[in-house]
Amino acid sequence: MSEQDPIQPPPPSQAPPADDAGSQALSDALRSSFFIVKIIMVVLVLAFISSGFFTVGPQDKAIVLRLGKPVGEGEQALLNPGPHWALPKPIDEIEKIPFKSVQEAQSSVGWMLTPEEIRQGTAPQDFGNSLDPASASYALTADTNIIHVRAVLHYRITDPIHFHFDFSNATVFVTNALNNALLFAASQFPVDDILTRQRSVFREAVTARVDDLIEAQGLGIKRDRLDVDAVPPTHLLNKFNEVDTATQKRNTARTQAQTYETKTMADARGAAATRINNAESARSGLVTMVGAQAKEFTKVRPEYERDPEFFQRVRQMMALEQIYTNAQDKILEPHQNSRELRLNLGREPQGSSTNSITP
Amino acid sequence: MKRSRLTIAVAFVLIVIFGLLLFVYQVRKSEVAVVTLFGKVDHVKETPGPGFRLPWPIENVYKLDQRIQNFEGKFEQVKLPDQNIIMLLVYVGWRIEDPALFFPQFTNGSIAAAERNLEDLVRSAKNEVAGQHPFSDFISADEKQMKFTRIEGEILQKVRQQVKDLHYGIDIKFLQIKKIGLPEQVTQNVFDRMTAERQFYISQIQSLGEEESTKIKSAADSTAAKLLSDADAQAKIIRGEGEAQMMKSLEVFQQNPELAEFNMQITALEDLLKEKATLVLDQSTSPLNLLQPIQPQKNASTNAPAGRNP
Repeated sequence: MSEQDPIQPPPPSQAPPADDAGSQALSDALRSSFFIVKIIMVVLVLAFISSGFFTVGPQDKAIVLRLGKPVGEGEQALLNPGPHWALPKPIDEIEKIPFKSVQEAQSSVGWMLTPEEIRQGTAPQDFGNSLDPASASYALTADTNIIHVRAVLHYRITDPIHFHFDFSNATVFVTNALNNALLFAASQFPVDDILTRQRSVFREAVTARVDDLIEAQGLGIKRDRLDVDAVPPTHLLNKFNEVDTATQKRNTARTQAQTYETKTMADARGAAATRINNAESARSGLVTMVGAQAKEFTKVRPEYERDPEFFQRVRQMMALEQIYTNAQDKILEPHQNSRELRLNLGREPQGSSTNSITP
Repeated sequence: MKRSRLTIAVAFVLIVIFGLLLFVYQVRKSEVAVVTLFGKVDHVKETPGPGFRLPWPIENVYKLDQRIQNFEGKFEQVKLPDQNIIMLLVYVGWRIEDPALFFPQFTNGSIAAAERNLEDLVRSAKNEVAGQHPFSDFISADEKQMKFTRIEGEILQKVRQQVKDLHYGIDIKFLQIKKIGLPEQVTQNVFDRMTAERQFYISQIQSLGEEESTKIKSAADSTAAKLLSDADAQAKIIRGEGEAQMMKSLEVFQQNPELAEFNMQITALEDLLKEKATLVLDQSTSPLNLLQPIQPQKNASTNAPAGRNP
């Protein structure tokens, strides 16, 4: 066409080169911008995808809510500790549930300190001769006394989905169940039973009540252990200690009396046995001796009757011989008219047990 | 062409997202959604998951927490029929049972607004029920007299009935006593009584201890004395038996009483001077008389020491 119409003015060559350059520059700029946008989009897509990675800690379990609905049913919905991936928000949402092996709940009423003060190590204070219900917490006992009680419940979450999704704050319900159980049990026991005589029975009553409430309220937990503590009001602590001291003294006095009883009875049994044995010996000795004398009598009677005087003299001399031999000391006294002669033929007389005879 | 495809894709994605935001809502587990149509409750979605809605302002979606809420009233004084005054605090576990009823009752289904109303109901029920029970129904060692759980049950029933009558759309799951106390002035009286009780126990324990100790000791002394007297009696019987046996043997001595007496005297003398005896002897005592010079034989028969005892 251009060849058939030579007079046609040639296309403007000056302006087009300028437009082409501008378009080219714009095109280049757009191209580079699109390139950057592409890179940003890729990065965003990668960031979007990688934002779905998450980890579940060793003390936790997790549930993935896809558009608000749990992925999986029951136990299957629970993700164990470790790395996991879910679709990014807002499609998937991760709910982490504390799932320590053993949880702990402390009662929040009944004690002179709040759980927070206990954690901070605050010392119990004496509220004085009255308790302001606004600041002091305590329990009433069956005998209308005031006592401080507290409990620590160790429990396991057996139904984490129920525990987490059915209660706005399940731990508050656990604590309140503990509070109720303490008051319920305390109101059935006299103060001395709670403090001394029936501590274990009281603890069992608290435990039973806690178990009942856990089941009735469907908290989805299982009791592992329950520790219960009880003390008298701080203001009356000395009085309660005095009762304990008096009880100790009474026990000591009873033990001493029982010791005395044991010793007295043992001594008496020994003395009684000795007396009976002595009597047995005396009987035996008497019978034996008289029997022997009777035998001797029978034996010597013919001799005696033959010559009584001779018999008596011989028997007397035999006895004297024996007496002189056995005597410890012999003193010879001369006649009055002669010079005194005193011979000590033996040892010195010893003590008052010495027998003495002057013929 | 390539660029336009990309643009279309991006636009499509943006439109989809915008559309989802406009027409779709999601209900989490533990939530319930109330959908209003021009401000009036249209329907309720109670199951978790996505739901369809018309865009605002046609439809609005309000999400309510359907979990069991913990509500605690106030620790307030309650007068009992026996003129005692106690302080009582209860806690309530409640949840939204009927969102369609609950939502219009309380501003946009506000939990706080519901609990403000609940507080009045609980206080009223608590005062009414507790006001029918004497103090001994709250605390007693007697299981028959103790009505702790019964009182809780009565308050629960009353609150349940009231929320039902008022169409709150609330379910009261449970109600328990959290705290029981006494007015401050009463605690002072209790402390005074407890002090007196402790003092009484101290005196009682001391006197009982002394009594117990004395009883044990005197019983031991008495039993020991009886044991010994029994032993003495038995010993006496034994000795008597011995003497009876001896008397049988003594019958033989009657054959010659003179000899028997002589033998007994000799035996007694031997026993008397058996040991540790000191003898003071005269020179004329036989056989010491043998120490004297020998006299002429004419009077020998008269000087003999025969018949003289030492």
